[in-house]
Amino acid sequence: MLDKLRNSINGHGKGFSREDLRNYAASHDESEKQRIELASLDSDFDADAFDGWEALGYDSNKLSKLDQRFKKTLPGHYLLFWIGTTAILTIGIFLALQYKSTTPLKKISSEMTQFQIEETEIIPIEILNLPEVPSSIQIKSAALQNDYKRRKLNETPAESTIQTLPLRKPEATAGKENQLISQRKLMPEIYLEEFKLVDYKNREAIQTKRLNLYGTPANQESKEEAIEQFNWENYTVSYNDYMGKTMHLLSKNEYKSVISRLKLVVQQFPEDLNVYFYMGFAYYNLGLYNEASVHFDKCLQLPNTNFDQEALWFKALTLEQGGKKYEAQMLYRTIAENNGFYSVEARKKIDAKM
Amino acid sequence: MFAKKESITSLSDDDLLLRYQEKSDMRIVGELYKRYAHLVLGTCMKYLQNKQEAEDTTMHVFEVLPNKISRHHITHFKSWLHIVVKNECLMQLRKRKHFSTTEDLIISGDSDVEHCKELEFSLEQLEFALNLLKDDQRICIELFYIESKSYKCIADELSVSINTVKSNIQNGKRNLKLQLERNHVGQIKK
Repeated sequence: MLDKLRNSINGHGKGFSREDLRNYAASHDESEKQRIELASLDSDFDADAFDGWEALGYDSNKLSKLDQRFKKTLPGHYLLFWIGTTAILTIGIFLALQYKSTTPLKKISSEMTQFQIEETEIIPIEILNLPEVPSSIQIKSAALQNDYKRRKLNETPAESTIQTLPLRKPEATAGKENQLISQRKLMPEIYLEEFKLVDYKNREAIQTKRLNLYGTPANQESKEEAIEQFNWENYTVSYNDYMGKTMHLLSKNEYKSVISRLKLVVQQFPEDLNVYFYMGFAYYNLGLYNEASVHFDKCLQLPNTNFDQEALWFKALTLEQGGKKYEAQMLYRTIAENNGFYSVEARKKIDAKM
Repeated sequence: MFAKKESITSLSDDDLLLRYQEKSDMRIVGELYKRYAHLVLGTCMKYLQNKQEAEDTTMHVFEVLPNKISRHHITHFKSWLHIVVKNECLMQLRKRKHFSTTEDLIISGDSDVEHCKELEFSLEQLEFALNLLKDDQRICIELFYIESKSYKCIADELSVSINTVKSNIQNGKRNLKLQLERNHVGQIKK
């Protein structure tokens, strides 16, 4: 009984087709309509499009004009395809018109509709177009979450020691070898979505905005009126709520969304350690090792030590993945000597090399 | 030539993209248009609420498509295209209000990406999650998916608008998915 629902949730269907649109407008058969409505829920794309077609009266003939325009953009050798397609469309249009002569036009709701797009849901295209690397060379967010779980369970004496000792800068980042980092301290921490974050308790809310889109179907509105029916609205969201959602996206390995959201935070809080570490992690998993390296370095330069161990470890991995094997090995040695959480893994890396 | 055409129409989206990247064959763009123009136009109409602009934006999407698909590694074309279309719509909306258009924006496709990941859950789990929904949503979901009633039939039966029915079904489905995802994550943790 629930198979249809299960398939719909998992998006097993192919969505609706042009022919479905024609049938939906023409058919009196409620079971046929239901089949098409079901198909329209197969994906968000289908659902959006089907909503849009409501405003077009589900009249697929409106695609004909578009087909003609598109045809002109194609080179001549593709003409045969279009002859076939046009013939099918013409037959379809004829049949649809036959139906329409006896079918009253579907009433279009005049209810106002509203959509909201949060600015924080928006990814600049330069981020969207960043390359991606095979998942086999990524470090999944779940692995980092597991590290944190293990660390919480087994806080080793060595680990607590390392956080009070001055850390050595990694060679790749230090201007002078063995330069000690001083006056850096550990801040309170919280866990959101099982990721560790510095607890910036009194941090001001994140300023962002959202786009409200209002509208009535276009055939009931003049173009000029439709133009005015949206607006941007400023709003604020608490730092922890914002970071909670960002960590949620991270848990789903949505690295580009994470980078996009964290860039907004760093504009307002340029020394936010959480931002630099998780941006570095996201860049690492997109295979952008130079960018990742810059962010991990920044973690090691900021006044708080909370992410020192992670930043060093991921910096070493970044160097290794980026082909800087020697520098990576040197850093693994530093990590192993520090006797912190990643020292065992670092020793394995050193042994593997030997 | 006909043999070639037949092979193109039977190819998956992934294979089409691969072939385009190899041969820059414009017939492939035509095939993608044939498959998705109705979704692009409908989505543009939903966001732009203006037929002419929706058509222009649809054309623009397919005009720039060859360049985009040759440059980017795309794993789920349909979801990716949905994001591209929403991006174009948002840019149109920004232009209308004289917002800066120098910054190229795109809407996140989180839900679409999620759509590509199959959830594993039993019918019992689904039934349990269904019972956690608000009554309005649950009733509409049951009438639609179990009793196979159309939007109009449900609207008539419940004396509500078709839009309310659609909204209840779409929101209900989204909430169900979230609930099942939470269960799924919980099971993995255990």
